[in-house]
Amino acid sequence: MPDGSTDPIAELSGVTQRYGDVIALDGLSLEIRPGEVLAVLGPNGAGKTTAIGLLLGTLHVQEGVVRVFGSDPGAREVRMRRGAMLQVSGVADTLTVAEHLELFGSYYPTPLPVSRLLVMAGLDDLGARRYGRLSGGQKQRVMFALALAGDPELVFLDEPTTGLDVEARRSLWNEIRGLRAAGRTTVLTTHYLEEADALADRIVVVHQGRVVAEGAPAEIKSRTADRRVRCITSVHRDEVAALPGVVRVDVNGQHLEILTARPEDLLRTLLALDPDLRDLHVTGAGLEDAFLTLVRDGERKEAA
Amino acid sequence: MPPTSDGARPLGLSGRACIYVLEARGQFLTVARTPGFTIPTLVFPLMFYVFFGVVMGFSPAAPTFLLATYGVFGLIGPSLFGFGVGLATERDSGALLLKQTTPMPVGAYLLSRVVTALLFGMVIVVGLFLLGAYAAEVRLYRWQWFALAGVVLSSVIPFCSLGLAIGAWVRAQSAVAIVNLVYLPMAFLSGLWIPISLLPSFFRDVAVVFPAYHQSQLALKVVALDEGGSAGVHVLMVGIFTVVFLAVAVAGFRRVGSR
Amino acid sequence: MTGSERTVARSVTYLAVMLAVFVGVLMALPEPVPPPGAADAALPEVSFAIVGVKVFDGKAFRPEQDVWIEDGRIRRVGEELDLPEDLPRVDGSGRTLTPGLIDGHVHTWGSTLNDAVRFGVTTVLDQFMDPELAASKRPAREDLARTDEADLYSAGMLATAAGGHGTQYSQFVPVQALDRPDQAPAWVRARKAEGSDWIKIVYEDGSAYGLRFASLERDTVGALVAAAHDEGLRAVVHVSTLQHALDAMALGADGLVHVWGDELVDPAQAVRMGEAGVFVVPTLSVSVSMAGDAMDRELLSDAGEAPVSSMQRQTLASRFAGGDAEKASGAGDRAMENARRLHAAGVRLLAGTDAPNPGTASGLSMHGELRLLRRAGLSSAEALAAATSIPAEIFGLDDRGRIDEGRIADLVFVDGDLEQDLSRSTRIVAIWKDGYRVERSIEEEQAPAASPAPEATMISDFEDGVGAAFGAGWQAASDRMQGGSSTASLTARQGALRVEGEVVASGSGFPWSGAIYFPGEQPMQPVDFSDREALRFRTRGDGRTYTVMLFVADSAAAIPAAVPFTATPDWIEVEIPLARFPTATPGIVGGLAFVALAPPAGAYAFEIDDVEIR
Repeated sequence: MPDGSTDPIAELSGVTQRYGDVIALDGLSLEIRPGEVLAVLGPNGAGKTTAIGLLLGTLHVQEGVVRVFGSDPGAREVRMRRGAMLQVSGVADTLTVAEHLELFGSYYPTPLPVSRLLVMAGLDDLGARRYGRLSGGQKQRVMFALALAGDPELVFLDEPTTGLDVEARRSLWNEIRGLRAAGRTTVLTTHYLEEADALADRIVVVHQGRVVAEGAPAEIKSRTADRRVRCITSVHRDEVAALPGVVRVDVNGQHLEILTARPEDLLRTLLALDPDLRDLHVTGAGLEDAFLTLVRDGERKEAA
Repeated sequence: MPPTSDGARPLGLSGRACIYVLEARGQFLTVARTPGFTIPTLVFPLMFYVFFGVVMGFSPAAPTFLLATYGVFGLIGPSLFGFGVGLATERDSGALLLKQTTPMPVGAYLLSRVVTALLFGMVIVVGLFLLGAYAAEVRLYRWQWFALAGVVLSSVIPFCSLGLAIGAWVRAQSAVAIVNLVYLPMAFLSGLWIPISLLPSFFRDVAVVFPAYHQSQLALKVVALDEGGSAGVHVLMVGIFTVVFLAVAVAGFRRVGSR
Repeated sequence: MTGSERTVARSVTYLAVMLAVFVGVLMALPEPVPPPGAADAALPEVSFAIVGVKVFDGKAFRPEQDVWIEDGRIRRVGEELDLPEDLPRVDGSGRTLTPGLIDGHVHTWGSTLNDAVRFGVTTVLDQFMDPELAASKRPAREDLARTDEADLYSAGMLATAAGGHGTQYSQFVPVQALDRPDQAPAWVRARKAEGSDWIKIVYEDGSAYGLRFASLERDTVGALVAAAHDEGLRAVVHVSTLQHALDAMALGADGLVHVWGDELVDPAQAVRMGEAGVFVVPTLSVSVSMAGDAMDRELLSDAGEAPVSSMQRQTLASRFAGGDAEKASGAGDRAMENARRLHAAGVRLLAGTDAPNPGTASGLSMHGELRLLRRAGLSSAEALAAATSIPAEIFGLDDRGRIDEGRIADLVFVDGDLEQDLSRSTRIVAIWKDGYRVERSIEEEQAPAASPAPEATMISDFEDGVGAAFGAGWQAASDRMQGGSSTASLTARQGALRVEGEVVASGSGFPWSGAIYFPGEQPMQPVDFSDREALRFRTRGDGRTYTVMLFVADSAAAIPAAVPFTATPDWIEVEIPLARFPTATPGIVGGLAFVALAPPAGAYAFEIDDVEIR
């Protein structure tokens, strides 16, 4: 369970990582606490995978400190207690699922039995099937099972459900929930708020290499519960921008596009100001919009 | 999990051995189940030998000579493809990165590929030797059969290093092209298909820059059909090539690691 | 981890199987066999060098030696000799060079001397043969001319009691028996005059085999030893019991030419023999053959492509008959153990085969004897010394038996390292005798193909005269063809064949006469009786002992197999299993003779009837 008083079992502290001119991580700090399921939420290019790479020891830190189990993240003793599912990964097509699991298990001192891994990953009947003959969802499950092969204390899942259809995604969620039940500390990255909400104890939102928000899922969700209102109206955009709860106003052709935290108030006011308002759409805000909100909140906090 | 004081449990010796065996088994099965790899690497040397050594037989010594050179040729295939193409493919697919996050010893990964190349090499050697002995009436003393097999199999050292260097630098798709670009011309220019002495003298001057030339001269020494160079020099040259290839490979991995 | 441990175990097993198959294939791949003709011609002779070879010099192995042969003798031996530029060289790497082998116990007739040299036995020590034949063969050992026979040293005639061991061959090899000590000096002088190189004495009562032979008395043996020593000759004694061996030692014998299998020598006795300086030729090859463990298959298979003569084949295939088989089987093990104890006690052992006795072959069996000596506890070097330098020292053959400066270039060149594996001694690359390459192929006229045996088993019932149911029929025969003057005549009378004649003793050869039957269309044309079991006939006569001889159509086996029978005054039936004809091959029977042999000389008469081969 999340518990702020416990020492973190892994942390990034003031890490800055550059690729040429591009800053992937910009003074990022992150703690992973024992037993929690932590979701690192952010859009593509936010720096999530870089952060995971550092925690897995596949990348060398340029500036700042990275510790896992109090050691260097690439140390062999660390690797023995940790499992990982990478964003872009595959294994040999010609070996069977069971052969892969057995091989990966052999790397660890106390591997989980292949039969149990197959159950944990929902691959019960697929042990004898070659990896290359599996569907995309099944392959992801194999990657998931490989991450658990060594019975790890700490599991990294880098975008575990990317590219999966809704059904496959939901079913993998079930397996991931099992991790938490087993008390394994889990870090997962995602760009779906829904996924983070469904799985995590705690969410860290990363944008452009920085942490822009952090908190329990309900908290984060409430802060990103914006709506997008789209309409044709004679009310001027500046006037709209000044209304309470409005985050942003864009002009798109004839349409105004308004992002607001309080859509009901906005609509009441707008309809009062312009009875001719037409072509009205109200939709949930996109993730990009949500991040904008969070970023702005963050900047505001910093400025304060 | 029974925790120990530092939380990490080192694997025992037998556990380590298990990794090596299972890794080699996995690699061997991966390769053996890829007909696109096995058929050319096994069939080409034997087919060439049947054609040039058994059917054509342009001299009485040809079956014996070509036994040595096609043996070396046969070992280039599994060594270069296993390391060059195999490594590049695993690098591209992310399998290599995934394995780097596990406690797998790097030695097990490399050795599994060497062992796989050796096992394929053994199949090729047995096939060639049986063809030589029973289709082309090659007769060698027992020590020669063993020594020839030994020298031929030792080809994995330079050629796996070369494959490692290629696999460390290029992507999977270009790896196949590059390996073929190295494999076939080097075999020809080193005199593995046609004795170097039958080629224009220009080729002889070129041949010395290929490890396959030195390796094949060592194999030919066993059957006293070499060009008369010093065995020590050939061994030294093979050693130098190996060291250079390994250095190139290490540089390639450094570059990848810092990405 | 049990699941993956099982996978690991399975993988390791597969790997081990693959490795085993790999090594197995490499082991089984064919090695070069120099064909007797072409490749041989490439090897030099007379003056040449063998370089970088492992040499057994007669005493010890020495690696990486160069051996320089000049005009049939060894000029120099050493590491990296400074050899003349134009001297032909033979690469000796991976090979062993030994002195030509010396077989310490052979009997010479037929093709034995050629058979010996073709398998690397360049010198034989014959322990009983026709003195005239010996006299004709001895000169060859003195010169370095090309020869296709082993050099011969021989005792010539042996000393035995009348009717004693050795006299069973008297129809072919003359034996002048003696029975009193006072005859010894004259007997020995006669041998010396004939050219005997030493004296061979038979001290054998048959007791070791459950038989009874007439034997020389102990004091006669002693007198013979003393007479030999007076004439400056060595005396060797044939024994088959521990007691006779100890007696012979006490009587001053120089050597014993068999080891005994009746009793185990105790270590103290063995040490005494060692101190007395008695040498022993254990002839383990015949010990194992008598015990039913002849090495014929092993040796024939190891001879590889080296041609084996028909005489070698035939003597290897034949078996000792008679005696007590049960007694013999234990005797083989005791003989081996005695050899081991004698060697351990420091008694000098000589390799000797007693070839071409049943179950052995001249030349080839020497390689079996080397293996048997290894089994008796000799090292490779000790076994080879027993076949080279030790017999040379004991018999004063200073020009051979070692690879050393000045010695005759009698050499055996073998593929492989004999120090590591003496059983490779049959892998002969080349043999040089007096510096000349020994031709290993045989130009032997093939024995004519045997015609199949007719259906009928009855040869003759003599109801209608002397005729026979098949074959060229019956003839009278005698020693006249060898220059003797014995006579014989055949008549059919009252449904039986009457054989009458006279055996006339003469100075040389062996007197005989009688009836001979040829089963083939022509005399001596072979017939295949290999599916028949026995010869059966009825006989009666004057009560003396006659002999049935089975001739095989093979010139090499000059001595026909003989089995005695007695013609009693009343008709009796005689049945002789064909297996009892020791050196005969029923597959190529050329003739069947019913003869009277001398002694005793004089007139005889017997009848035979209902002769049947069934």
